[in-house]
Amino acid sequence: MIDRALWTELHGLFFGVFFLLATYALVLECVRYSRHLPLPEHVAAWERVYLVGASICGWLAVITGTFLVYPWYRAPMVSGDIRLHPKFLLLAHAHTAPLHSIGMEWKEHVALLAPLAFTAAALVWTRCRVALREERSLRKGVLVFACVALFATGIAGLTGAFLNKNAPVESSFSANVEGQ
Amino acid sequence: MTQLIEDTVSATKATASASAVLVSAAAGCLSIGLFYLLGDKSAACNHLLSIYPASGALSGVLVLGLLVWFVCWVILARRWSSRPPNVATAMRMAILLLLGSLLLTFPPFVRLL
Repeated sequence: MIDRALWTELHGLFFGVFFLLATYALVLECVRYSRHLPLPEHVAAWERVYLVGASICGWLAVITGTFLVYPWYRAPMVSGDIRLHPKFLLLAHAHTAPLHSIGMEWKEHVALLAPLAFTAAALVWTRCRVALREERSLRKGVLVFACVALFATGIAGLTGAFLNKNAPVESSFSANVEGQ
Repeated sequence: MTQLIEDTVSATKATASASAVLVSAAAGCLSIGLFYLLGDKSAACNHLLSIYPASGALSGVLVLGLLVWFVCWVILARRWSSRPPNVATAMRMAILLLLGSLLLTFPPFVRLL
């Protein structure tokens, strides 16, 4: 029963971290070309593949988070071991309760904005090059979208790390092994 | 001359298309915030948003937010292909919607409403 730990790692450490790095790279590219350099007319094939891959990673992070990891996190208390129910484990102590009421609530919703903003920015960046070269306000718009994607991913990653440290999503197997 | 006109037309089309992508994405983001607010304030809305019961209202917020994005994208792309918008105004609108969505996903702010 290592599936929960594996999916949680894939969600946060693989899809999430790669997407965080990609949003940071897009912000840097936007800043570079919006102020200092003329935007090249064509997008390199590798850059196109990179942006598509990053968008897919962002959506996979959101989909695995929403439909796999989150149900394990909020599963209702059926067994007696509170360690198998991260939400209830956090709410059981006054000093960790804000991690759910603010941290998790913020993470689960702000994270949805990140791939949406990134995908839109990446679409414009790769497909509307002529317009980007001509319109300064469009370049500024793409930069803001990339910054919002970076901010949202950063919040989701940071709160995710705190949550996993205080109340990791565990299977009954790993909880039993630790308990012995 | 013909080339110049063609370039101008393609630049205008690309600008309209880029504006449609960004404004519709911002509308999708804002709708995510609004659906979260609705689910938080009303038990009936929360129940309706629970498309996948194991994830609760979050599943509905995600699916409906994406739906709003696609519908807005189709509508704006069609409308603006014939009548291109003022790009600066469209970008201001997109940024405002996006910042509004950031505010609406912050739980302490939502609890104040």
